[in-house]
Amino acid sequence: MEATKENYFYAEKPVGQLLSRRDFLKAAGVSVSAIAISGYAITDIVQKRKSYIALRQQGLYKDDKRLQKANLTGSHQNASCLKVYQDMGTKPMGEVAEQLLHTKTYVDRSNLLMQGAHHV
Amino acid sequence: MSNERVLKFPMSEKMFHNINMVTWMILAITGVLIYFKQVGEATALLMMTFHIGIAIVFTLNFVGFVVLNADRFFLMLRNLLIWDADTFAWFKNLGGYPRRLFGIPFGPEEVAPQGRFNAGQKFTYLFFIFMIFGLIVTGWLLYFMAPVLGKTTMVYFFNFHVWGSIIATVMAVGAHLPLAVINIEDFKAMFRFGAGDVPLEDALHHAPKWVENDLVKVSTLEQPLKAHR
Amino acid sequence: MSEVSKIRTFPPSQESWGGEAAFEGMHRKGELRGIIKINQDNCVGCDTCTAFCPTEAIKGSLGVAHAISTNKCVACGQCLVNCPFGAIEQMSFVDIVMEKLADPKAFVVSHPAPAVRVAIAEEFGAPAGELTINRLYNAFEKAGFHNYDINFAADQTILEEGTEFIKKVRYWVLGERGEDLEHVAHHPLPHFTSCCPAWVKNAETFHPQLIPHISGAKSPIQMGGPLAKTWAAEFVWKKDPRDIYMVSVTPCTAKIFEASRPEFNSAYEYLKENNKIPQDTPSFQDIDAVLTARDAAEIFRRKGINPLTMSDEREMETMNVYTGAATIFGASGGVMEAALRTAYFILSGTELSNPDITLVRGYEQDIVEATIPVPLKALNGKVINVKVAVVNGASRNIKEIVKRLTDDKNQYHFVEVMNCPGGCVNGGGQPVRTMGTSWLHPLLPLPLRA
Repeated sequence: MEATKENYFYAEKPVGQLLSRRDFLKAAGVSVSAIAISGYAITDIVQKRKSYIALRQQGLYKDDKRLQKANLTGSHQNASCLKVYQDMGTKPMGEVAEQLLHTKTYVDRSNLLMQGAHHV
Repeated sequence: MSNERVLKFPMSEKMFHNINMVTWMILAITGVLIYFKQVGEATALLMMTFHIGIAIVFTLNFVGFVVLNADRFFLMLRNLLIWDADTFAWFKNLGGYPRRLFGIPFGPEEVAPQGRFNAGQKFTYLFFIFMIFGLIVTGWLLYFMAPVLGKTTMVYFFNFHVWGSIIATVMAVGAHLPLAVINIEDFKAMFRFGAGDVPLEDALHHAPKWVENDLVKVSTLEQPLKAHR
Repeated sequence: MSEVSKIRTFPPSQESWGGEAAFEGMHRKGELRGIIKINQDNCVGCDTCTAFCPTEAIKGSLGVAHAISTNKCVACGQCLVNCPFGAIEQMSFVDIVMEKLADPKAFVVSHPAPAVRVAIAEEFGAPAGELTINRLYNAFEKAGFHNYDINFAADQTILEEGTEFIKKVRYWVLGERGEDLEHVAHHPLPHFTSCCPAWVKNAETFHPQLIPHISGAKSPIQMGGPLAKTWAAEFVWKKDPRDIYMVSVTPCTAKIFEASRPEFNSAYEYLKENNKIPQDTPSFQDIDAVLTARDAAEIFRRKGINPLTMSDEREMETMNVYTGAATIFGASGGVMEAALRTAYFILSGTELSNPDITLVRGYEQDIVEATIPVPLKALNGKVINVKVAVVNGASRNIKEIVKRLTDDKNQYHFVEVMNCPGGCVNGGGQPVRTMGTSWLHPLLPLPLRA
């Protein structure tokens, strides 16, 4: 570093003489609190961001428990479903059930030149 | 004495300030061009690449200054956090600038004596430091962790980043820069290739309490000292 | 500071169902496309949505307004519910349904999904997970709908798919042969569920080699549609099927796509074949319109109905009978659990001692694996270990499952796939939560909290 035409006679005292312990703690305290408060707030929000999913799932399991008490635990216990088979004259995977409740149409879309749906 | 000068900006502070200034302006310009959709998609991609690349320099500059020059950084914070009666009194006439620059007779003619920074600088520079830190944190979190943050946090960070930077840039360009040019000795000290010293008269005029409390004579020699960091 | 955001919608246009060509891009004629759209003015290009898209269908660099590639999009709506700026919009049939409700000739049926009953109340200020069942039925009735709970159809799905799975087990695991098992000879294990339309479109587009493994049983809604227009029309409501207007109410935007699949007019074909409707009747779909939970809330709002203020009392109707197995469909692992409850009963002849198969519940995990020992009545109690997997959210996990199966195709017998993390409760059609400050919230004065 070359000296310029103008040079100085005065400079600040060394930092150790200017910055007391109290000053340092004041500065550090302000910075740390700012960081800590915002850090806590943000971490809290981020961690709880998906809690609504669990709450909704719990709602469904609550519904499940209520129905289990009424002896409606498994689908085979649904009298309305059994009535459907009776009235329509079919059974699970029977002919009418196949026609109404099953599909054979999945489309291989990866081939853009497909001309139509195909049987699987 | 026209020869008597004071070291106001040590080299480390000049380096930090000037790199910060240049990178800040590039970040602001690229950011604004992208956010306000002033450029087409291909250019925006290029602008964003610059933005991120320069952001790395901006980040390292700030972190480097705080870590490698912790003493200067804490000293600066200490000076900015001295809020005494004179600090608040400065606001009575805004340091005399309205009268001096625009002829507006606002407040008393006498300006309360200030330290290293006048009251306006204290609040502005605290805001700038907060913004530099905040922009770095929000910027990198937005870049790397957008999906993880959650929507509300994301929106707050995004708006802080965009609008906070715009406000700070307006303050820097509209207030900080003109005032720096007006106080030409400070301007020269900050930007010259060499020591960041100012005439003693300037220091006594602008920051009498700093001269009185913080300064010390470093040389009794007739010929001037060689500048050293 | 409302906890639920308002999502913009747009009506379908003539082009939404495609043109005359049999195929346009990845869509067949008649299939709805462009169901999810990113608003180019509101999008800031933050890249959040990109992370949630299971098929990398979102284009646009950081900071530039993003756009959805219609060909790759499976209409799951995960981008929409996760956009911090609410810049993504959904195709809505609210106006069309409102018109039908005003039509005195139309017999409009609301078909609400399990996941809707734990979330729709959020649109009216209730906390997440608030269960509204009878109140919801009453609200629908007041709005002019007749009720047919999808959960009833979900039980039907378990009976069908459970039977299908058991046939596959008999053929592929136990080595049985027979005429009734001929069909499954073309469908080796692992068996994949088919009720998630986003998953189905994903498989059709990106993993077509899995197609033979996907269950032939339709989704609960797509069973409910045909049953409404055949069985219910004749035996319960005593109505002309052509007057029945089926409106499913879903947590899902992909269901809008599913209902438009051209093959889903089974009721029409059946009725024509059995001469129950004139031969020249124009075709009608099994499900006529799909409303998301948000859309249904909008209809309630327009009609001044708040489900939370409706009575919780209601007579049980045939059309709303359902079991616990059905209602848990809305949670990840729910379909698996429901299927196992019935499959276990059929194979072993006894009920599970503990019907809560928490082992297979997805909760927050990406992929859940479990082994369920089932004693076989037909083989004197010999136990087979049914290996199952639950894919909780499509993003990375479908590729992971495919990788595992390529490595060892016998790793699983039964795989449930849900596109949306957590299951349908977190679907693209659900109320969108702002995810506000959780600890700040209780400190706010009451007016700001609502």
